[in-house]
Amino acid sequence: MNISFDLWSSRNILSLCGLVVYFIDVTGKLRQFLLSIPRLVGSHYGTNIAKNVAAVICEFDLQDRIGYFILDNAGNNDTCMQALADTFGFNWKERRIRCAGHVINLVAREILFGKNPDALQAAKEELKELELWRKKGPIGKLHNIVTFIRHSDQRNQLFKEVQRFSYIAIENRTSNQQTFDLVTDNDTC
Amino acid sequence: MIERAVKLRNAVDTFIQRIRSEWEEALRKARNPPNKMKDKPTILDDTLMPEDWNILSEYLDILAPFKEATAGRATQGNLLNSL
Repeated sequence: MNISFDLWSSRNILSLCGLVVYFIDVTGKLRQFLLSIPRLVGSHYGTNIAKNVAAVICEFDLQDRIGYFILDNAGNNDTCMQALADTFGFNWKERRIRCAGHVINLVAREILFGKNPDALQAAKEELKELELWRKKGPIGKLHNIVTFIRHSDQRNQLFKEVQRFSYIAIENRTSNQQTFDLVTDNDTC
Repeated sequence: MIERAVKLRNAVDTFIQRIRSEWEEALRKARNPPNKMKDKPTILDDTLMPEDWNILSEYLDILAPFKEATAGRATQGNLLNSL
């Protein structure tokens, strides 16, 4: 049972971790299934990703059938594989296969665009835009704050967390959970 | 946006404070040993001071009649037609 997984952000800015398994069935046919796309809560550190992946593996009872992992070249996949190896007991260097599609894609992009000049330019433009808003005073700053928070799922999660905390702290409302959830959902999503 | 932000002032302030602490922690770690640095989070230059919050509240008061005057106009047709 071979496994691949990868993280990406959906259009409504959720961090998702898709996990696909590949295996040969009893008739000798190659099969592949998408097992799960859980939302990744918390950091993108390898150890945190490993926790999510291990949960899926255990949920489907695949602990004893783990084969190889096909992953892209992201650095956090190394630490993720080390954590998985600790959990399930295997040699992580041996079990990690690098996704050939990702390698080829990187090479092709470098041939076409060089060392990521677009990203640099885009980052500069973004900073310029933030600066323009900032000059408009408090409303401009508020606009930048909203943009910052809505930039990624991790920041959305952090904001929701402090929102929850300050709501309970100020209003001293530990009960009445339903109203509170409605308020957070309306205000952050 | 302003209305929600004013209601969520504590959360916004706390959020920026959290980002600031993380950034200062990263700075400390980077100094010894010298390490490659992450960029400063842009939100730290957008911190809203108490007087900024006061101005936002004032905007809210000033803009309230405008909001009221335009609310529901889209379905009712414009004011001139109804006169």
